[in-house]
Amino acid sequence: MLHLKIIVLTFATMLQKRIFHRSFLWILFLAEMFILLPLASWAQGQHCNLLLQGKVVDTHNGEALAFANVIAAPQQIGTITDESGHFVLSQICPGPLEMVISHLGCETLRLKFDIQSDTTLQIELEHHVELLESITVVSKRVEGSATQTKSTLEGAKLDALMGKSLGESLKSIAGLNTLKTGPTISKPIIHGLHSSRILLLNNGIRQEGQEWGSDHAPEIDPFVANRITVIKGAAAVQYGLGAMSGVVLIEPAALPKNNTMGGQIHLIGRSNGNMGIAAGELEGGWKKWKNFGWRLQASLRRSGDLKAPAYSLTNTAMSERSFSLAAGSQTGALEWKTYYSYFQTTLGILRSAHIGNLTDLEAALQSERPLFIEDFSYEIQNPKQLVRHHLAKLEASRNWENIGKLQLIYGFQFNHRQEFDLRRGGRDDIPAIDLDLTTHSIALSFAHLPWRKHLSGKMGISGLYQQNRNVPGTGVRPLIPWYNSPTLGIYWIEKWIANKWQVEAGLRYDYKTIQAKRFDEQQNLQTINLDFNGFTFNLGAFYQPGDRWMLSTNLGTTFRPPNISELFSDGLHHAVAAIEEGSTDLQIEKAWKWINSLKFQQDPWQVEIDAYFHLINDYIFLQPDATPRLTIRGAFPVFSYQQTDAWLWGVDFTGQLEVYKDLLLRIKGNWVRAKDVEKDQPLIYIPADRVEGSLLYAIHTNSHLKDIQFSCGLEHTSRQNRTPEGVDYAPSPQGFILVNAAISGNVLLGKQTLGIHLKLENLLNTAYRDYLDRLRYYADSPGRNFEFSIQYKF
Amino acid sequence: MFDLKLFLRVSLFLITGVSFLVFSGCKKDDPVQENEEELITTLSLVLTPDGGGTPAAFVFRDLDGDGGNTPIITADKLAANTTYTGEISLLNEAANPSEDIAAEVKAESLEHQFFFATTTGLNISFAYNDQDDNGNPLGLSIKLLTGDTSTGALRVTLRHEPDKDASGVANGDLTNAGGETDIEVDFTVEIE
Repeated sequence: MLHLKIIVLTFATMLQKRIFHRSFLWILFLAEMFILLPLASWAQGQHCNLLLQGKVVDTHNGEALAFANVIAAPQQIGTITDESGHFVLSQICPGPLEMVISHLGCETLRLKFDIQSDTTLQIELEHHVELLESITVVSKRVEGSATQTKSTLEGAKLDALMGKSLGESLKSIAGLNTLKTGPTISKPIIHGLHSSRILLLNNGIRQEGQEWGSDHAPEIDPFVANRITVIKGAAAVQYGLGAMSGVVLIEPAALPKNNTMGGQIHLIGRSNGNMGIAAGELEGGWKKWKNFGWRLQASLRRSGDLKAPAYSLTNTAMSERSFSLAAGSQTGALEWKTYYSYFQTTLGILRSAHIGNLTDLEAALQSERPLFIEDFSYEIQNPKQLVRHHLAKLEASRNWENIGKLQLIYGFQFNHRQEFDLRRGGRDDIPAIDLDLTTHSIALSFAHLPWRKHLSGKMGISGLYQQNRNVPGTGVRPLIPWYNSPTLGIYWIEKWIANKWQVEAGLRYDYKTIQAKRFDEQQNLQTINLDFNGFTFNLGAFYQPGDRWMLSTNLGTTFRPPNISELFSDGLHHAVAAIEEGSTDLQIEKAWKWINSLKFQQDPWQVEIDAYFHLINDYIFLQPDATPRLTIRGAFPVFSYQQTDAWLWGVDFTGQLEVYKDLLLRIKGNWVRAKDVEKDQPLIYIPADRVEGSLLYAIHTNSHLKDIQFSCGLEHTSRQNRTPEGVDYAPSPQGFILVNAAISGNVLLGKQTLGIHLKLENLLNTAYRDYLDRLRYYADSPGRNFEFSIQYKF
Repeated sequence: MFDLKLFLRVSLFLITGVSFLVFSGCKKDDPVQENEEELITTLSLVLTPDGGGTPAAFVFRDLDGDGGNTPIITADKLAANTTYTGEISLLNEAANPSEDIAAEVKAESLEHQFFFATTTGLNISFAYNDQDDNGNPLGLSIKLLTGDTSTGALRVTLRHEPDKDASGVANGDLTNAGGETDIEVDFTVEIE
């Protein structure tokens, strides 16, 4: 405990000498931790409260294997599978785990992997002694905080989505939709809400791009992820402001801990847009430094104009490049990690969506085809966006035996966004928007081990400092002002774990200030200071009566300060020919989200149902004003940010049925309803009802061609009939059905495998427009696409 | 044994250094006023009777650009059954000295065209009086012919990147022009 005394001493000395201003004390405290951590004595200590469960089945007939011995080494915790092949092991320590599985008539089997969170395994056991090596882990599901409703994409599921943008990938989870600005720009919607109302955590750092804009896609390359987890509840207590409707966690694989080099290569070709994608990953260790691991990862993609069934979508070409470096090591109780990633994208925006005024918009709405159709090209012309995003991270943590784990994370992000417009006088190469956004974030947390075997918890403090600067020389009045904004948050969560129960409660306080500077109408520099603060709490329970049922409920409150665009925007939104006016009088949004989840698992069924109710007081939205504004380009409708009370509720459903041996039927659907309570009318841009059904057939072989799988599916999106009156320019588009199909398999090449995927999307080349596409006024969505991809792991 | 004094000295030194680096970065960096180069504050159409006489002027002026104060629109009366030569000038009067935007339009004549439309009942006809580099109409200069006494609205439109080869566009019909609207101004015209 020596180091703790030192902190107190140094702290006290500084206070007496009044060297520093009080507001910097917490920064200093964190800096202290950085210096003290490496000096602290090393000890082994782990947080052994993980749950490992699963099922053991026979590969040949899929039958459950009862009375199999399952032992987790090195802790030597063991159990026997029940008559349905299930087993549950609790109090597993995180880290490398060796499992020993034995069954009558089989030799003892060993399975090694790294366990970091609650895990569910499906183990297929080859019932012949000579083929013992073919034991495989088919699926591995992470549970994490059990009271929160979560969905995870990883392994084969994530591999099948490789090459898609983050927004498109997440659409494969029930309850998630995609908000689009044409085919190149997409961002996730969780339970009807998006942008500032959800939070993206990239490698433990909250993504700070210009997420307030509905046409600003997240600056994340999904190739960095080994696992994408979506929390569908209000998880603001742990993750902070913005986690109102949900959180998306993008996590890379754990770094290797031994000196073997490995990696993988992905090559993907898509017919629509003649897109090519190449991605690679290389990882290894270092002979002289035990427990040190590193990883290099890079990806490139290039696409030309996409094609709708009837015409080319001129200027929807894009190019993207990104790379990341990671390194880390664990020495005894001390662990450190460092990470850097760079992401750059150039996105063309549908040429026909560039309009000058309402007359142009009306002309576009009346025309069935876009007004600009040119031949296919890879060229990205104006209007376009050029975005660069840097992220650097330093993480250090230390374990204390029987006490817990202290973790410190520092993140730095620099986002540079340039938007190029069609301009007069040879100004096409001068960006009309040129923003530099810099964010520093620092988070210190302490997770304590179960006290009296049942109560475990986490407390933390996090700080964020963000500044926006407009790069001068655009020749356009900036949309977003100069601002500096620090945020400070402090939280505490405790969890009571009993045999079948878990109960969780958390509390958080956040304080945020914004200092903005802009020029008023008389061209005088104006400084505006705003501050927001509030409490957030969370209460959840999880109940697992047996291994078939799982129930969870979570009630969370959150608040959200108005974002920078809601406060300060004042100007024309080109794509929709409307003037949007912010207001500095806006108050914080206060929300309550209650989500319940039920999981049922019994062969041949697997069902998950999530139901939620979300109440948002002072919900910020765009309200059309009665009088249009006259400008030299004609009269424009004016929309101003106003507040109301809103309700959102809905249900997500995921079901799987093994219809026949190796033939699976999967059904997925989501329904959202949203209402402006004050005006008693629906909210705009709420996802329409969507149902997806697919059939999967797997073929098991013992040849070099393995894991062959066929699938075909239907995706039905209804027409959104619940829209507010007098706000939208065009009625919501008709509902549509898309047909998709895929074949995948693995080829054994010596010890390595080559994964092959062939995908057919929108097989019938259906012409449709998506209600959640902001450019649906101008053109249809892309048509049929064939995709071929190979993945080589070594 | 752990040397507390040395440790304190080192950590204080480091903290001071880090703080210095962090806070020295906070130099005064107020925002810079953007010069709105593409702003058009003023459109004026000056109509001079071909037979001589006092010119009539139609002016749209919005000195503070979009928002703020409402634009000031003035229109002189026109004489019946008269042929006028009209010249359009476009200015950014928010800049000092004011910028001549018409010159920019003229320099990019292939990408621009003016259109003139009237509401029914207003007895006016138009003809283009200038050409772009390909011999298609531009419309900075026009001929305007008034008929009998009437009132109505005149709409002046400037299109950026219109399809000048589309049907009717060379005769001043907007229907098939496409492109984006840079200017769309309505004047109330009285012919007496």
